[in-house]
Amino acid sequence: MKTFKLENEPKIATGFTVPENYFEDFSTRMMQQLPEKETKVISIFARRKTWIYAAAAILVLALSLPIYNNLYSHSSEIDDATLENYITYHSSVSDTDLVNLLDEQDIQKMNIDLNLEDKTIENELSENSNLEQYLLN
Amino acid sequence: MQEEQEFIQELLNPKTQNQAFEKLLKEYQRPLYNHIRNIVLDHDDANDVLQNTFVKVFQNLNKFKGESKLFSWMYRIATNEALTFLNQKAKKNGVSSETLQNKTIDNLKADVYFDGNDIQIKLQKAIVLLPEKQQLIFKMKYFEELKYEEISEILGTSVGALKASYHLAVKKIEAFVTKN
Repeated sequence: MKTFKLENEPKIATGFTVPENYFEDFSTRMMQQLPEKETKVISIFARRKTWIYAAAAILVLALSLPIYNNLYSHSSEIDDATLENYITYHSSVSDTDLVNLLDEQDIQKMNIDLNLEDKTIENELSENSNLEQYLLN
Repeated sequence: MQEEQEFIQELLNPKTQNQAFEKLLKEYQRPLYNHIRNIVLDHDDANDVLQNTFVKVFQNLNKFKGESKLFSWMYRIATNEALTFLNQKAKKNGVSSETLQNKTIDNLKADVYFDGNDIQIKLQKAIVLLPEKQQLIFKMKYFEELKYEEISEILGTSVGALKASYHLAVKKIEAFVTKN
């Protein structure tokens, strides 16, 4: 059998061929495709950008929740109306309980000095006869 | 090198980009096609891979650092794309890359874009038996007639190692063809 030697043989071509005008068509097709591919890249980036914004918004909301809670829910100041309603509708707190909670200073504070002269009271009474009725009762 | 730097700048500048890219296409589409076709063997596959290669080149132009030559950078992308394509195709068909290549070679005779005879087929069958890297080196040296220095830049292998590898590949191919 004859030994095959690559260098002794005439150059062997691959034998691969291409369709007619393949390269002309290829470059034209490629150039038409390019801007499209480019916009695709931008659109993917834009979509990623939206995700970043969405994530940032959620993060801001999540971080502000504790602040919101501190401001409103855990407020140590309770407004008077809420306190009054609480006391009124919770029968377990009786007037006696409340009185027991008051000290001398509180009672002093409650003492309203109307600073009215007797004459003024008399005048008032004479002008409004029905007031006398209230007082008598 | 200076000229290449200028050309890269043209490729990156949005105003000159399209024109420069067209020039790049015209200059490299044939050698890159041949390189890819030698790896994937089928024309339609080579066409797909060549498209992907140029799209990748276009998308990554701004990442091209100029550390290597544009030529070897593009060849590297083409080689990777072609090898990835082959592996994916083999996986899809549930066969090894080698089996797939053998099947493609068997079908070459019926391929309208193949103009060869028995010796071409036999040579391809001998090449498939080589390790992947040796296949690449043989095809780049023998068919594409690239210089060892160029192959070295593309594959990142020293010229000495390439020469040894090519010599070994030739010996194996000659033994196969003699036997068959």
